[in-house]
Amino acid sequence: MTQPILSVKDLAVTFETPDGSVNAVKGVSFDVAPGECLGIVGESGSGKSQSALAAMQLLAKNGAATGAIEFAGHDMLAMPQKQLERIRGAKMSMIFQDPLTALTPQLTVGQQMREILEVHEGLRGAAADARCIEWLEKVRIPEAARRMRQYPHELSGGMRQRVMIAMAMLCAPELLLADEPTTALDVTVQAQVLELMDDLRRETNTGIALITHDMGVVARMCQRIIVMRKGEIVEAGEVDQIFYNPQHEYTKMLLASVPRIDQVDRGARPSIDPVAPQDPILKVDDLKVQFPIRMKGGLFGRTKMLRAVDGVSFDLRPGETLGVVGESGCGKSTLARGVLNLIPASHGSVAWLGQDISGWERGKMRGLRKDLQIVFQDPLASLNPRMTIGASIAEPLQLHRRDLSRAERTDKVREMLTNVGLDPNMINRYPHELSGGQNQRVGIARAIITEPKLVICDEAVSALDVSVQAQVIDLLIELQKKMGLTMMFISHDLSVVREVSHRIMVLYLGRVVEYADRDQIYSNATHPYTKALISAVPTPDPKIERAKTRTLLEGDLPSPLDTRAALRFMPSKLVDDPDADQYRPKMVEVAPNHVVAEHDPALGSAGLIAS
Amino acid sequence: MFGTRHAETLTDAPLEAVKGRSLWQDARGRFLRNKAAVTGLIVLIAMTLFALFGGLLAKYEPDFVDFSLMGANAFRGVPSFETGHYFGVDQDGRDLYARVVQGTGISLLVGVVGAFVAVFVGTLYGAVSGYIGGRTDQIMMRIVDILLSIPFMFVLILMLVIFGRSLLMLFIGIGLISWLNMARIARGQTLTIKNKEFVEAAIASGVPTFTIILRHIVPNLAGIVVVYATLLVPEIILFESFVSYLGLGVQEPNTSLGALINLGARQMNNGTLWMLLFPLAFFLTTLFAFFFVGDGLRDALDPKDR
Repeated sequence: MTQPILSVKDLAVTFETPDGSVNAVKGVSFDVAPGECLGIVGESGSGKSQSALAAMQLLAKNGAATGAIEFAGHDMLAMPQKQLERIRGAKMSMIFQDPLTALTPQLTVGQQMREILEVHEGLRGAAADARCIEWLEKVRIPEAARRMRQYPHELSGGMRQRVMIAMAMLCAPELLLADEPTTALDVTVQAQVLELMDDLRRETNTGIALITHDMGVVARMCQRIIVMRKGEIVEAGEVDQIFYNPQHEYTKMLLASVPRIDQVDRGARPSIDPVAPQDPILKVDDLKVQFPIRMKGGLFGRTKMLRAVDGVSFDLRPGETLGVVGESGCGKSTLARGVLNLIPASHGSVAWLGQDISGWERGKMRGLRKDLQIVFQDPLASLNPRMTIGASIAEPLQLHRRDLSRAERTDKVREMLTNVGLDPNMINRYPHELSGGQNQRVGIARAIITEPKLVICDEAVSALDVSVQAQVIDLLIELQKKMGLTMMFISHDLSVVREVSHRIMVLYLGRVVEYADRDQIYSNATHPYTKALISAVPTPDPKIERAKTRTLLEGDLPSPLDTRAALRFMPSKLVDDPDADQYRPKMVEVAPNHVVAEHDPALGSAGLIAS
Repeated sequence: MFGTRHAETLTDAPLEAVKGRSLWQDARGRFLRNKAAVTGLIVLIAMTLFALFGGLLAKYEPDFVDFSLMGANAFRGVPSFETGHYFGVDQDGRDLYARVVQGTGISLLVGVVGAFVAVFVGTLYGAVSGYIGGRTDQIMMRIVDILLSIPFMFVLILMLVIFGRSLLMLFIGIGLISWLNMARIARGQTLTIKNKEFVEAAIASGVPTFTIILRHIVPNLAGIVVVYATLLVPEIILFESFVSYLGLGVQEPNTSLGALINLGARQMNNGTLWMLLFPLAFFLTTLFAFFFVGDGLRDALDPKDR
């Protein structure tokens, strides 16, 4: 093996807090060689980020690192501040998780990039500009010269992360530390950014330490992996060895928890039952939700309608789960709220048990709320911090089961806590005393305590670690079997959706592009967007990842205010005017129960035109 | 392949108790580490005890006029333990110690009652306005704006002149203005809370609007309300002192620190400086203590700081 560029030995990081010292990292050793990508994998709280920050000497003030960190022959821990500053950003740079907060908002992209060159290489003026533009082009940012004058908020998330990468690469560093670089991005954008990082590593022979929780990303990117848990390395090795022959129980558990987009078999874990053909319980027809957006222009400005949900129709049979998939901004959460009448729909009907409930007022809806419930994304934010979890769970009962006495209510809450796998003695705990997974169980308990008929899960497992995510999914499937729940499962994660759904609907900018039975979608995707979405999800299997041919979407998600955006997959009918009424692609039934929107041939899919 | 094994690890993972601390525990820790705030709190407690029980130590009633000292204040009414006038006497020959005890009590009372009205009315008004939003919010907040734009000192003086000068009138006057800023603050905070998922969850469960405000919004305003209230108390004390200084506030035989300072200041040229300095010292100490405690609370409860 070549001389490692970064060599960490016996690193320990301790934080002094008012509650005593916290050992975030306990004796960790690893090396990164030039041109190698090392994956540092672990769940939240495993100390993976702190190890990287220690290597950069960027720990928070109350943190202290001991051990040895050697970077290109220099001891980072003993280095004086001045010398550190010369190395940081020039020879060793970092990419952070959230590209919006990592860029200074009031400086243009150009100003921020030039600053780095000026500090490290004394390069100014036209020479600096040329170098910046060269790198922006290398990270495939279109119209690089114009982007130099733009502010971070003018760029999309994927574009910002590419700017971050360009900034990190400006001085040709020998080591790149990437801390969850794609976690905040959509799958299709993630695929683009990962592709870019992989190319850069090959071209420039930069060593990359990639910190992530996503086993799929690791399988896609890395040659070697270390698996961390609670500040310790539980397993380290070549990527194939870890994936195909894991030794440690934790690694095995982690790999088993990861939902696989390419297989539906859940092993010994619960899986969904087929649904008996019955009359639908919920029928949504041509639902539209629009928000007025104020635009510049005229004396008082003008309003333009943002079509968050633009004509969505589907139905749900009792005991069925509908998976709703799409990238951020595609209107999936708005759809959920539109169905529940939390946001008024502007058009279309929602029929619940044959009764049209769209446009009902809050008071009138109140009686129905017992049967229609929702589980939210952020487990902590969806619980009132000032109420015990028992009080939170009991609240719907208080409203909908007035016949129950206080004691009966408490009994029911305790029973429900057991049902969702929590200790009934936790009834008087506050949300902050529980972990994320436990809080999400509380959220589920609150939603199902009134024995509703329909539960909408809005990104209910997205904020959880993979192992916890797997448990919550198990719980949802078991509850569905036990109580005959009908569910709408909304997620951006296609692999998770595959595990729980009977049917799947793919949304793009508020419109359905493909709607079919679960296996049909994954094995026989017809619309180019669905194809790109599925191909973009990294599989936690290195051999499959290496062999995979990717269909990458070019560019970013366009603005939904621009009516041209909706015709991205059917440019043949496009009228080139952002305000014009565009052609609406029709839905075509290509097979029984498999509907696809019309599209032009693209990305390896044949065109589809309604006859 | 590893079906049963991983099931075991799966179940033990979430059961590890997460050691959490509540907002309040966290805040208490931070507050106690702030030395100025803790000192302020101790001083405030001492000041309250002084106002409540200080009278027991006094040798004279606050309204007892010692006519033997008439005209001889400057040399016979000086602060001394022998005569029992620990702080000396005022210009009318009354015991200044007993007067300061009484004045401190009244000043604290005015401040605390004013702040209480502000907390009660202001929080509810602001929470309702912010939560309901739309036109209701517009109207409710414009009313606050209009009330704030009236020069209140002027109105208060008019009120005291027309309805007669009494403690009750003073309370009403101060109560009328003190809640306005609180309402604005509570409304602003409500706007951020009402978009939280737990409020949406409550709506989705069918909780009626007013219950949401009382059960989900108001308890979450507590932090900012407590901070603002502690900062409001000294403001009101200052306000009352100013009114009393003008001779419109608390009436004889009652007194407040502001009134005492007023009387003391008039005697400055007569060589009886203690008449000014004793009430002034208590006044400043109380104000500083309140400000330090309020500041400490703000630092301790400010969520941006974490």
